[in-house]
Amino acid sequence: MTREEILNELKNVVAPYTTNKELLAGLNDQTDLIADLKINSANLVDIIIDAEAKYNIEIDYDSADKMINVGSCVDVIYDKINNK
Amino acid sequence: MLGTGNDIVALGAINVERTRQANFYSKILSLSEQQLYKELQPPMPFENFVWLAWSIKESAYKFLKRFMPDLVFSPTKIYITKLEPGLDAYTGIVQFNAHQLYFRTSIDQDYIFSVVNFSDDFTHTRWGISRIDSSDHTHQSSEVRKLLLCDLNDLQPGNNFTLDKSPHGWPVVMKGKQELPMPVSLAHHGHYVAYSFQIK
Repeated sequence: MTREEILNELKNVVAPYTTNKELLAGLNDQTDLIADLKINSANLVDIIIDAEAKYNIEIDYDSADKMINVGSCVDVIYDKINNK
Repeated sequence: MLGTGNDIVALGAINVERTRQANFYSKILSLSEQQLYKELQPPMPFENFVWLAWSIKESAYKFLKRFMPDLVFSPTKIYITKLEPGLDAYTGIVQFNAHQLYFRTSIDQDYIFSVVNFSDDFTHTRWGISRIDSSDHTHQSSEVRKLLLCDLNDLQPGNNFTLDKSPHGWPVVMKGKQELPMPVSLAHHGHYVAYSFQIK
């Protein structure tokens, strides 16, 4: 998968946890999950679990720490997919 | 070290089934914390324990972030080393590297609320919790600010306190154009909002 394909699919992963649908449509690497998408921090683990299931990967603690904005989420998922 | 950090988890907004799954709770609880749960007397539902731990860790993160602006919230790197049930709250110790903080957590049928402090004396820590009508983020955000300002202005009438945001993102209390050295913390989840602040 390319970064662009992951970015497009990531919209579906985070969609259940944000009400900011306008920003979701224009998601880019700099979009911050909490500050921009207003996702409650209590849902961050949900997003990691959903991403693990969607891409059939395991996201370890150190990788999860990096998943602050959309760009870092895509990077982590891209690395995990390509290092399986 | 003057600081504060709080968090609230609305139990109506959690996914009980998912919380009980190992791939979920293992991203929040360390092995030593899972052992703490097994030893806890009286026992509590496991999902409550997971979110109790989350609220303590998130509170500690908010407290420490003021002193370490680049800190990233990593639940398993902030760990609870002591947890004691009390008459109206659980108390104990939470650690991050060499930093040791104290927490006080109350569990209601509808929410879990935690506040952390640099000492185990919460005499000068104030907090408030309120149920709100809508879980919309904008509403949560405005209601929690209203609640905090109401308490601050009741406590010190005539000051017309307002709230602003620091360049790093945490809330600060303003009197006119002056930022006050009074740490405050805000939290919201579902239909619940909460604040804490440290008086001295």
